[in-house]
Amino acid sequence: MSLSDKMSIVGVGATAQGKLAGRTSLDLGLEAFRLALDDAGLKKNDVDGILTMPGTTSPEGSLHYIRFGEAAGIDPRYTASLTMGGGTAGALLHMAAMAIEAGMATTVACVFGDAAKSGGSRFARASGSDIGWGLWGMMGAAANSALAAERHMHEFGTTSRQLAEVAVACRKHASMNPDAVMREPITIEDHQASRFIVRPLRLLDCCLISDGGVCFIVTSTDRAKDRRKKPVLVSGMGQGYTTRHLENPDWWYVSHQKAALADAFKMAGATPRDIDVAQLYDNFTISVLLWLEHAGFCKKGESGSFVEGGRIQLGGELPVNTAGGNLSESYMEGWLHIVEGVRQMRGECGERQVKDAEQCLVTGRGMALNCANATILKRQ
Amino acid sequence: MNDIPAKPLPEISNLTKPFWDATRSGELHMQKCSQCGHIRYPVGPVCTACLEPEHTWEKMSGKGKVLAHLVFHQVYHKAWAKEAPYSVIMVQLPEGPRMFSDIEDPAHRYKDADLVGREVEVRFRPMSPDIVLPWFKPVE
Repeated sequence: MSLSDKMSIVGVGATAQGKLAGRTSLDLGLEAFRLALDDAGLKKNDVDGILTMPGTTSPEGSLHYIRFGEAAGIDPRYTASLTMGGGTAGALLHMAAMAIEAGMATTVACVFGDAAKSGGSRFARASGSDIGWGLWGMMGAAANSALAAERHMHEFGTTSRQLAEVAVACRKHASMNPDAVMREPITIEDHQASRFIVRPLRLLDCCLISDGGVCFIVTSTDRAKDRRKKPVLVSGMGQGYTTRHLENPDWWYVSHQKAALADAFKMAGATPRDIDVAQLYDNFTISVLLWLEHAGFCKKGESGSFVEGGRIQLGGELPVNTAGGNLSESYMEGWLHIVEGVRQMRGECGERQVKDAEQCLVTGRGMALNCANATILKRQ
Repeated sequence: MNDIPAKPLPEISNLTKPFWDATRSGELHMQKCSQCGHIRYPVGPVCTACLEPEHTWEKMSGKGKVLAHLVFHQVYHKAWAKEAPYSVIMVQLPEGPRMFSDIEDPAHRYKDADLVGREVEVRFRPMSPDIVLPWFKPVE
């Protein structure tokens, strides 16, 4: 039996973003939780499920759910922490939906907080297994996406200027978002003049590192009726993974994203043509191009030309990352993509609202390109 | 003034010892499944195609082709501070496996080059008495 439209997001909360000296991952998550409860018109004891993502600065690691629950004074019926990097927010949303459907909880809060900016997270572990790639200096968050960009450029002729289109669009949208960290508009030339981080990726191809907290609350669509704001339907969900790296010839192309997207579209009974606005996980600009191809907004290899000419900007055919994304709003590892999706479906976005938007695609991807998911949110 | 730390080196385990023994003798060896013949890399306890643990260590030809050429301008680990920008490559071996490696490039000849598609050959760089690291040299 399909879960389509049976679950809704009834509350979202996001703290201030950026450099927040003295804050911790725990208190940022708790503030976001309070904000989401208020947004939903719920009390903390209405929440019987807590799902968390430990921040990179959370000392509790995989025991984060215990510390968060203790700090919030909640004994949940259902709880867990999950660590899939930028794939976590979507995976927890799906987990919440499944738990509620299974009768394990009625109302689940998904929470993330991190003080990555002021807490000194390095995101630069040497990655790989036994004979680690770090031995050769293949390390840092940009490395795997640089590989994806390099291969895409070689196979399809994609250019750095086309990657710049993504950065320019996200920054333009951030300039219309008072809560965004980076609001000064940029041009393609600014992107081209920015220094290389890992060639072919430049500084303006990279996401930010930020402090902040985000929470969203999921409940059944039946229960959602009495909430403070109009619930947003979770219309389609899908996930896809590769656990492999070097042994997967398609690893750099993240073909497992296609399975995630296909399942989400199938559950929602939707096609790419039905999507009015998209929040596509953008740890680096290249990621947006890959999502566009895998979702079927354009053909394989054609995403570079697809993003030219403002097509993914507000006012274009498919506005992408309308709050600014990881690249310019704040790096909340995709959690704010869900928040913006909800706000677009509620029609709360003011100057950056996509008019009459009815369906929003939200994607997440984490670890070394491994963990992908897609969600279609729908206006009720 | 010398505050550049040493590069990270791997712990040699029972599993990886034959790999490092081979590189110390100037050879690149990988595991070949005794049941299905699949050559796997990275090193693992069982065959990734059929789960068979029995395997032999086979000498690779040492040839390869560059699939991706990344140039690290950002210094993520201080041990690389002096040599940045440095090149990391993904190499396709003719025997099947792919691996990450680097190109010794003290004169930064390859900083602005694009080596994708280039034939390369394995070379070996001593890092410590126990660890000799394979790297690849473009065939001129």
